[in-house]
Amino acid sequence: MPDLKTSTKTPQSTAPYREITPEAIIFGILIGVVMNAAITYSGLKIGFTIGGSAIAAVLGWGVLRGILRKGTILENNIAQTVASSVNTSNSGVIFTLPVLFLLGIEMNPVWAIAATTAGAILGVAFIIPTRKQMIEFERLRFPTGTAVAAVLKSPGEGVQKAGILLAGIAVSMLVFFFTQAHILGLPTYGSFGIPGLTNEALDVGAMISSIGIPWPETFDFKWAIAPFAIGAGFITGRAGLVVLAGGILAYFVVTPFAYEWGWLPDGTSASNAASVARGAMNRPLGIGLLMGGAFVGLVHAIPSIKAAMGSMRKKPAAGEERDELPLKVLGIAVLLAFIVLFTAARATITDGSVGQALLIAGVGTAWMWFAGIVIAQCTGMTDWSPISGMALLTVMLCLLMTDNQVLPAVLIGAAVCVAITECADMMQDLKTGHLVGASPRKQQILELLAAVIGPAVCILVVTLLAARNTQEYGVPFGPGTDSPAPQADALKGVIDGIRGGDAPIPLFAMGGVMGALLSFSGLAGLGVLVGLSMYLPLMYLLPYGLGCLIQMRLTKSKGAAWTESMGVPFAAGLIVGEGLLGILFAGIQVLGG
Amino acid sequence: MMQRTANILLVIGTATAALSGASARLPWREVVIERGVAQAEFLAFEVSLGGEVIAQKGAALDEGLCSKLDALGFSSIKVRSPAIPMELLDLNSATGEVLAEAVLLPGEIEVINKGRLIDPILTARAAAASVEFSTDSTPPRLSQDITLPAELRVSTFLNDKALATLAAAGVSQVPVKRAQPFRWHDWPGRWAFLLSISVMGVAVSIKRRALATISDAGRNEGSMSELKMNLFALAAAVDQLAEEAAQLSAAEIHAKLDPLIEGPSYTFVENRNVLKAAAGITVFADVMDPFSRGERQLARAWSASVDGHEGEARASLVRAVPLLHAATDAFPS
Repeated sequence: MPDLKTSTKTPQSTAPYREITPEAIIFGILIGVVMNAAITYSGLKIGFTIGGSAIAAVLGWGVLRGILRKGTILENNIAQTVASSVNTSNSGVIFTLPVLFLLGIEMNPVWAIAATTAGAILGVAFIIPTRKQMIEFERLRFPTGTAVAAVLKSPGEGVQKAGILLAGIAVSMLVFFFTQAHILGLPTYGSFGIPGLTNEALDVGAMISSIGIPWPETFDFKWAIAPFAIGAGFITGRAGLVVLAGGILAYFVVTPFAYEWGWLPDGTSASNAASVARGAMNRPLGIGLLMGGAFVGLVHAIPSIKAAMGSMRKKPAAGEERDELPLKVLGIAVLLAFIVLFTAARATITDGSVGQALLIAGVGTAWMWFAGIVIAQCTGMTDWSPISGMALLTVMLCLLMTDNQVLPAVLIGAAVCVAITECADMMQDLKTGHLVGASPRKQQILELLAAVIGPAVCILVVTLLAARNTQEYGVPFGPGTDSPAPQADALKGVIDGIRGGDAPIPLFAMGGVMGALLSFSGLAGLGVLVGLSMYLPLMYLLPYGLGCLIQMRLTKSKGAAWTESMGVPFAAGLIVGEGLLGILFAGIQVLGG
Repeated sequence: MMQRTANILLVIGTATAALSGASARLPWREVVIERGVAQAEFLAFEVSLGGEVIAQKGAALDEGLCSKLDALGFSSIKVRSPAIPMELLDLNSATGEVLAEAVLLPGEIEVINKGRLIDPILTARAAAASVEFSTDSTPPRLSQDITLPAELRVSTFLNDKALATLAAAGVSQVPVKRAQPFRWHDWPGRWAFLLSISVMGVAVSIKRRALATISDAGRNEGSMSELKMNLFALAAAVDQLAEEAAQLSAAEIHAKLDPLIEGPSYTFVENRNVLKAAAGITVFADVMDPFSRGERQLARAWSASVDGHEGEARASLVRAVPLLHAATDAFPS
């Protein structure tokens, strides 16, 4: 039993229970804006972003409870909901909009902000009606949401569990520190002189080769030094193990055969076969699998969604609060956001008709709904969200509808990407809220309002950075600058491919058929999981799979209750620790220029 | 047994479907050779026989080469796909195309600023223009401004603006990309793919049949009665706790809530799918909806008790009671 005398110092109170407060909202906005700017900057440098919920939850304890001396668990939950809502749009923006700078296309920031803000509102409004089905009925794990709940609940979990959480954070920070210690002028893993060990990964194949045992170069066996991936795998458990199967299919079946049979472009070496095969074959097949699997999953979930919607429509009993924002309010939000999106599309199409603007805004909006559900499912099942894959598909669709006009296609793509990141974030936050007993409706209202802040912040950072780079290097982003924008550069390759008539549409279609069949097998989300794992780099799948295996082993030997009460806090610590250090390094990079 | 067979078939089907699907993106394709008949194709690989090079990679499949290969016993050969990765077009017919190579703009220059990171593309451009540069930093950056001939980069989309730039610079022809359109009938992997998909289909149908049998087994009274026992035990315990709560401190409420949340509530959630399999989605939703709301009120009571707000903790417990009873009422008898 937890020892309350040692685990909480809050005096017993008869004052109203604090949930939504000005302090929580102001703190959430401030920390969200700072994280958004820092992560946008670092994301343009390194190509990936960091989620902000866990960081906001940890800082929330320090500020609301430590400094202001009055934060409650639910007030801190509101603070992290607001902060992550403001922060989360950065990946949607930096994976898409910088491609316009790379292609030398002028962008009016006003339309970019308008389109992405509309996307943020649409994302939140579209995903709210699925909360009951995904969180209460399907009980998807949402590993980050579960980890954040562990942080929020830590004051009441007793000394032992709080200690386990802190131990997880410490281990994670220690392991992750040496991946980026060069920022502080300190040695990193790469400088240790261990064969196969680089700053970001341990190449087990190279390590084995270095002791004289032959290892085929086409068998990519790099393990990312990413404690968060082990933590996410642990929280997901057995259900996440399929992810390993998809990774094995892509990297240990398709890649070696494609290389040996000469299917890769001439000049591809054995050591870069995995990366070439991923770009040319595994990624498009994976995206197709993901979409086909998600479509069948959605069709299967219709009865469950109907039942969830039915309970949304029920009138609450006297004195009882509604769980969700009413459908009418969501409908108005969707309509207003759609008008903004249409106006942005109309303003950016050259010689385009109203009908064409309506078409891309309409298809973009419908796509947001479907892609948002796909992303929320992926995040709920594994914690991974294939945002860049969705960006690619969206831009491809919009290019086809606008006779290859890049500006409106990328703007709609950016809006969709922001929408789906908000979908994933909203569901993670609602999962956290469910675990700590928060009011979903209050979280939804604040997420909807706070979501409009984020896009403007990251577009401002992107614009300022582009101006600085242009002045300093002569080009805004890309190779040759301090901000290579790797994801946008990859999107540029795809746009070039589509405009040159070389889009991998047949592979998307074949993957779609395979994904649909897998999801039709009766194993929930099979197509989505296999597709996701073919799409992701193997080096992150391996530690994730290891986390799943450790959880299964512990459940077998120690029991499910022990794993849940002792293992999950440690796994949560692994996720939180890496996030904390990641944002710290991002901040140092910003300050250091 | 059925399940295992289905799983094996599904794995084999998925792996072969992925492999055959991947073959749709080959950088080469196989063409049949006829003696003396030239084809507008180019060899994808070097052809050698017994150490002697017969033809270089990229060689055109002209009459002579076809005859030579035919005489050597080749019936087919791998050629580049697409045959022509680029095509030279007149500027006036290049609208909407994409540059296959960078195009120099004669007479125009581009100043590359000091401080720019030095990458292989910049190095190649400078070398082509015989411009030397120096660096004194790590990572390497230009230590002074350099001037290079201006160019339109590879992959530039030839819209009106790009075409006007080229025309103004006096460029009359541009190299544009040529992709190989996908043709189902020309794709040799189509039968392997269709066969693999059929294997997957068979596996899926066996799996679904096997799962239906498991669902029937899930209707056994034992699992349902255990599930029911957990739910009813939880509802009864929360009833009692809500009644006692007026006399309990926040710490005492917290101490009593932990075993309920980690015990019957957790067990019910973990085994909820037995109910879905046995009673269908509508009944499942009727039970899970109030249960989840009640469960959330318990979590709220827990949070409030940890925060020292016994008033909120008590109120949340009171709110949980009717919700959990609604769940027990909806549970099939």
